[in-house]
Amino acid sequence: MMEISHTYTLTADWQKQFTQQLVEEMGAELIEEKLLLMPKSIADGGFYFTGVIPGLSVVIWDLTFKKPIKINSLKSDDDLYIIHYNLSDGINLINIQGANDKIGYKSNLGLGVFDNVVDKVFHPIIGERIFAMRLLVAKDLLNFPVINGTKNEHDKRKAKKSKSSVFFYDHIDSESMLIIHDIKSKSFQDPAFDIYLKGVVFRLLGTFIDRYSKQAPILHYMPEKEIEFLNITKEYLLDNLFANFPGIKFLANMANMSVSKYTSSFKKMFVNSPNHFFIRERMILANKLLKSGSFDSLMEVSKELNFCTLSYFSLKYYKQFGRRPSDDFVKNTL
Amino acid sequence: MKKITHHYGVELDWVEPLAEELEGKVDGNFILVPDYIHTGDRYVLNCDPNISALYLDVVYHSEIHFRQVNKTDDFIGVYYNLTEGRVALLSDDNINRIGKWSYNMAIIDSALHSDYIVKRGSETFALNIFIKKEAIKEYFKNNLTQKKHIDNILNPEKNTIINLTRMSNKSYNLLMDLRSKKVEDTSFEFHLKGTVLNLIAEFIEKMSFDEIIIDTVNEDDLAHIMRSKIYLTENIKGAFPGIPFLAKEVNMSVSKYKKLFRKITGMTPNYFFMNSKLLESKRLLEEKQLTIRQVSEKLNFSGSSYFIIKFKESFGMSPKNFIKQLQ
Repeated sequence: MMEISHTYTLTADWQKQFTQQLVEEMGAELIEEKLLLMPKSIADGGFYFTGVIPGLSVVIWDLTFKKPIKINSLKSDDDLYIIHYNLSDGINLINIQGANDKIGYKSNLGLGVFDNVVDKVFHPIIGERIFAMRLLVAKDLLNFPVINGTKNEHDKRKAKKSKSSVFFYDHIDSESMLIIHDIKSKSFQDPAFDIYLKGVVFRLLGTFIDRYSKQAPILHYMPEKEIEFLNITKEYLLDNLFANFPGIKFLANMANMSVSKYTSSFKKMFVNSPNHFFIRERMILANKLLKSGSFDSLMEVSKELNFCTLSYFSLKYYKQFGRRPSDDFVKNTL
Repeated sequence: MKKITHHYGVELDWVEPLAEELEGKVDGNFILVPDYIHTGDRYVLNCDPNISALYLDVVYHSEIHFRQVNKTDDFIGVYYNLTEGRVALLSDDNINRIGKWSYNMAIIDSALHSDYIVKRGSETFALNIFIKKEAIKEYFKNNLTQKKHIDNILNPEKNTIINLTRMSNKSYNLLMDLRSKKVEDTSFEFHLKGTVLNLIAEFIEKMSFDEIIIDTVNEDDLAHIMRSKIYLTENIKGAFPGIPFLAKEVNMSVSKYKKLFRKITGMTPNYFFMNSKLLESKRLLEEKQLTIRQVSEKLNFSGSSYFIIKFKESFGMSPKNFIKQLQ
């Protein structure tokens, strides 16, 4: 397997090294310092580099590899983030500090943000068109609470945490996708390609900042009508915590949805399934009742909440809070 | 009527005087103007050493006559103007109507003087881009066939008329995308820079392929075609009325109508109609109120599968994917 190693720096230095390596070792062709065409025996297509403003540059990969290859991006000391957009046809592997992460359009996580202080290994797949864009952004440019904030959001965004560096994956949002889609259909040789690309970089960066500086946790799309109906059923559940679970069929009917639609929408909105949601709310109520000191025995609480047996109640309670009901029970002293 | 004489330029030394003339002041990138003159945003940005931009999204509350007398002649002004209301550009005793439904793009050499009159109640959305002539020549240096064409435009002696034209559909979409951004966000600077560069690229590309028609069309013809366009956008929820019908509406023969429509808008009536529909559908989906099926029914597509195919053709992704990945 062929191997290429390079580092990313804020200036164009890395690019010179990288191209020199490719030109000398593999016979790639460099056109106007910006476009690097790979030799036909290795791949169709090439790379396009350009600096946009100080501290911001971009690389486009648009090629189809014919031989297996490994591309190492070694860490360097320059303070920069790499924002990686991948719209390839297949799934490519990116290897970060030993973890195998698939990154690709089809795996749905086309956006990756990496810190320059970690090593990355890129295994492009063979025989399919790879189209990726990498923005190299100086940390000063992204100096807003976002990046720091995303560190805390790690589990949600499928990120892997390392001690001091940021990296996470996400879906490419629709807006960025539309922007990239336009450039994907252009040729490197178009007369205005360079200036167009620079514009695209600014717009992508603007969209990136919008997206992550607002931190709006709306992860799913849902029409308002559906939200309204889901809330009605939620209210119903909360009003009837003392009764048994009414059944999904009943709730779905109430929300004017099919059973499967209802369960999936409910899960999207409240994270839990309706039944789990109901049990959790019931347990929170149980906890209040237990601590209220107005019951004589656990049995009474269990009866009040309409559980069929005390042991079932204890079991569920333990599952929810990790404690037995008796631990929280305050007996009626009157 | 208020009369203002001002100048523009790539260097931003015109901002202070203009603000003063408008009885306002400069605050960062904004020019703050009192409400009785206009409400809305007036935003200035220097994009790079060769390019500056003025972004306007305002409603005028008094009639103003802007007279542009530049102090330098080293730049070209490219003006995108989507005004709804009454605006006129005067040059050499010609009165040209400017705005969304007439000429909406002007290319003017900085050596020329021009007068721009805007009536009270006009809603102006405009982007003025100032580019150094040197920079434009640079973009075209590899393109010998176009060099002459460009030199003609850049030569103040030969070129004494103001070039009026209609912007391409793509430019229009870029501007609409920009308009949906919030000016006060930190990211706006990036959006504006990006849009400016993309517009320039679009401009260069159209020039290179000779798609920009810098000749003027008969005033009446233009008005007719615009009326037809307005009719189509107003009836976006119906089916395509057919070219014979449209041609009859504006008293033209079918062949003349087709030819003119194509010349002025750069596309066929049917394509224009479909394109407007798809843009509207995108807007509706972004609002998150309607399902894909409802959108397709509302815009009178023959079926949601046909809608999905058209949407995908135009935007490169299916409507479902589009809404799924809205932020």
